[in-house]
Amino acid sequence: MKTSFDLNINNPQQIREIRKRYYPHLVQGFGMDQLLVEASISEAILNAWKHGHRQSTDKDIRVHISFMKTRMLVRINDQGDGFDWRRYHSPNDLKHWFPRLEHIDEPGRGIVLLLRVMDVLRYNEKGNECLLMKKYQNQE
Amino acid sequence: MSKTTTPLNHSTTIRLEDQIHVQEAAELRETLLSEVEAGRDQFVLDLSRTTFLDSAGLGVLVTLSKRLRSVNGTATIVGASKPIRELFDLTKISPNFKWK
Repeated sequence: MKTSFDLNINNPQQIREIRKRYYPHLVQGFGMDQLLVEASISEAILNAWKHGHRQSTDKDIRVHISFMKTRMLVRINDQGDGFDWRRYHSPNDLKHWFPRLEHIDEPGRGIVLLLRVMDVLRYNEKGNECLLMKKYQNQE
Repeated sequence: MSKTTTPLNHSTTIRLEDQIHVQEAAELRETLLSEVEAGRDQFVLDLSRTTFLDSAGLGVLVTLSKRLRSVNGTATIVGASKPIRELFDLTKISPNFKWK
């Protein structure tokens, strides 16, 4: 069974409203880890707004969330110029790249959270679209 | 958000909202930093009813802990649920706070 949501938002204050749509699926798929997964989705949306749209509310951020049989896929696309995601990536195992968050700036903090929680974090070449994937709790 | 202050020992207790999204984080930042400006350096942050917190909220709490460190103050978190504590642990900011 696949359930998908296509959501457009231009302001992170709308996250509080749109989360009502996907929250039950997060609880069902991730149990106690729901908070971490939800915080990661919010983080990716916040990043798109802050860095992609420079906190403007003139453009939409497109959020696509699919709850598939064994995993959740989230795609977040902004209309900005993209960012240089490569500087946050270690050439080795991303899961073990984890500086103390208090020593890095806010954008870095968000990406580190995403790296720790998600099974997959990918950016497109331009850096204005990210793909998050996480297997459900019972699929690990 | 509710707030209890005890001027004599420079302490303040702040009970956080159920959900701390961007807007609540901005309000929380204003409240906490104005308390620091007012000379409070012993903070108790009651997270007993908080069920959602993202990096905007975490960032505010990290900012508070840094400010308090510079004046030898402390921030103590009470009542955090297991998932909330895990969020702090995972982002490695737990040591910035005392936990009860």
